[in-house]
Amino acid sequence: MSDSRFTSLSAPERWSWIGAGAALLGYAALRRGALAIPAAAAGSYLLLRGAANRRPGAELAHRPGRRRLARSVMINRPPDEVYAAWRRLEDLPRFFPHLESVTVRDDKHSHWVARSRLSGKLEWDCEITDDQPGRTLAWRSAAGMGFKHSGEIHFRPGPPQRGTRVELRWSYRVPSAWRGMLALVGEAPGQVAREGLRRFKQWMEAGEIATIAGQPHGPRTRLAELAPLFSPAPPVHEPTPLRPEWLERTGTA
Amino acid sequence: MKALCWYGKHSVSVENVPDPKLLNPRDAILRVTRTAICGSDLHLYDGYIPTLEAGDILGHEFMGEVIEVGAAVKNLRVGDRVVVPFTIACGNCFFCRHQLWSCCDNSNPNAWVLEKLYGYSGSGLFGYSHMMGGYAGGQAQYVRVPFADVGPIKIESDLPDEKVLFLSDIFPTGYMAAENAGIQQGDTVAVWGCGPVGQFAIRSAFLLGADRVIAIDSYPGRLRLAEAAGAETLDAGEGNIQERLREATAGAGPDGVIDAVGMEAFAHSLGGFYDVVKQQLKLETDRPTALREVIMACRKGGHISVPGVYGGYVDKFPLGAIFGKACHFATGQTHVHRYLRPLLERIERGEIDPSSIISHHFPLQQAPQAYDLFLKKKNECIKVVLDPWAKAA
Repeated sequence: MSDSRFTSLSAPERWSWIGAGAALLGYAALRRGALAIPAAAAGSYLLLRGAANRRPGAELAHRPGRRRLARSVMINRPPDEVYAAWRRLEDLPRFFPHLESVTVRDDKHSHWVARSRLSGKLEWDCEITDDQPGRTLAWRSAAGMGFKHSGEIHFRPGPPQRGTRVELRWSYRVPSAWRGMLALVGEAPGQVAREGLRRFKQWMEAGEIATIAGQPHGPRTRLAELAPLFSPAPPVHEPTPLRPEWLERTGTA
Repeated sequence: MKALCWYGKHSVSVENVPDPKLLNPRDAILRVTRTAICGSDLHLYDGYIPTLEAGDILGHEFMGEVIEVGAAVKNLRVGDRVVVPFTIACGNCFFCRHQLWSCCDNSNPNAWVLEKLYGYSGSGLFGYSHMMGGYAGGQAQYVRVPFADVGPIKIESDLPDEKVLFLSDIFPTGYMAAENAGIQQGDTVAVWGCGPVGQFAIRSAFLLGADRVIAIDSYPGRLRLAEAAGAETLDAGEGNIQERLREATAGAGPDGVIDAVGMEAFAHSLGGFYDVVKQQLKLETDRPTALREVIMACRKGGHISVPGVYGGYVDKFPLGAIFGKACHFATGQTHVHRYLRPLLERIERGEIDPSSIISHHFPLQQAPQAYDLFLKKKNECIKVVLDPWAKAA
């Protein structure tokens, strides 16, 4: 907690931010018109920062902080099979719709292209730093490129008859100012990881990824058309074929 | 094709929409031969279920003929006649393997929404809002059925559609409600709500060996239909259900109690009015007027079964009465898949005729009028069956 972003404000400073925020909100409420929306937005920001005891704009003055997250999922298939499917890195865009492509260069190196609603196209090279078949895979992005992060994924046998416990650990840098906005457009890293693991589980257990993209509906209103833009679970790029091993290994009675 | 689309509270219309296509390898496309309006569709029609989008196709009770199957569907052929469960289930996850089909992990593409609301998401459902998956429903001429290799049951006898259609939802729902009432020999079961699910709960309670069934409603037509199934009836409009049930059970209370009413209970008392007001003010999402009565009426150590749909939060929930009487409490979306085969066999053996609860037939074209009729319970409307291909009268 020594990070200066977390230090408290003095009481007068704090109350002046809250006051300024409230004043802007009051202005927006009374005056309406073209300035009302930006004034309301700025007012809410100042008010909330003040209430949170942080100096407005402090996030911009600091370099992106390192964030870590861990997400796990239980998959009703054996660890070897789950590891093998994840290891086909070029399949990962099926589960993470924000990924456009993964190009495998050799056993250790791959090139990744992603598209964010917020920052547009991102590209990076990735290096595998640890690879234990059936157990663990770890990687990090090459220095100086696009999205800086590293991660590892573990595949451990679950309780009897429950398959594999998959644990994804991810460490990344995202400018703090962006974090709230990422959440707004459904790209909060924790949610992206959770949705990706969910789809991976579907692919492993059901052989396909549940979707409604492309189904019929009656004429939409404008508002209904906007809804998918804010979803953390946007439709995948194209229908996925059946997981090749699914029929022989899993199938349905 | 023609399909019934939702446009808002009390606003549905039949629209021309594109035909459905196979989207996944385990999909099938059906030509719908019969579909029905469910009491739970009225919750959508009344605007109580969030995340519907204008233009969504409704309908989760339907059957039809297979016209196309995906590459991974090996058990169905073009031309097969099938009934489809309203819950969509993959058949492979922990929950499906444990027969908890309506809890399937892999069928809701929008599971994140329900996770925010309920902690974890149940299965996807047909035509029941985007938080339940957003799947296009079956009040249409054609429908896409995901996981068609595990859901649909083939009808190989010449039973008419009307006798098997309700395997899709309300017959299994009423049956699971009766199972959840823990019926033992000599038991008396009380059922609140004599709509379609209540009617099947009453009939199922007898199939499962209940000695007496007491049916509670305030619509004379519905009470008559319950009586025809062998139930004793209580008119809720005449008041004091608790006292009358106590007398009917020699002071003990019913052994099993079933809430087949759900979130839009009617007010017969000041308590009911209280819920209407709170729901309008958005202080609670559901009106648990019937549920409170059900819980209070249950005998000590009895079983409380709730097939009625609840969506969100209720107020003044008498948890103390459940605790203090050591009652069992069971509820949930129906695990339809488990009941398809055994209930079809019961129909084939003539133990029950599900078509006996149908009150109205309409062409799909007139579905908007049918919704209005069913909502207002005009002309003793109990159950509406729609024919997607009939010409409008």
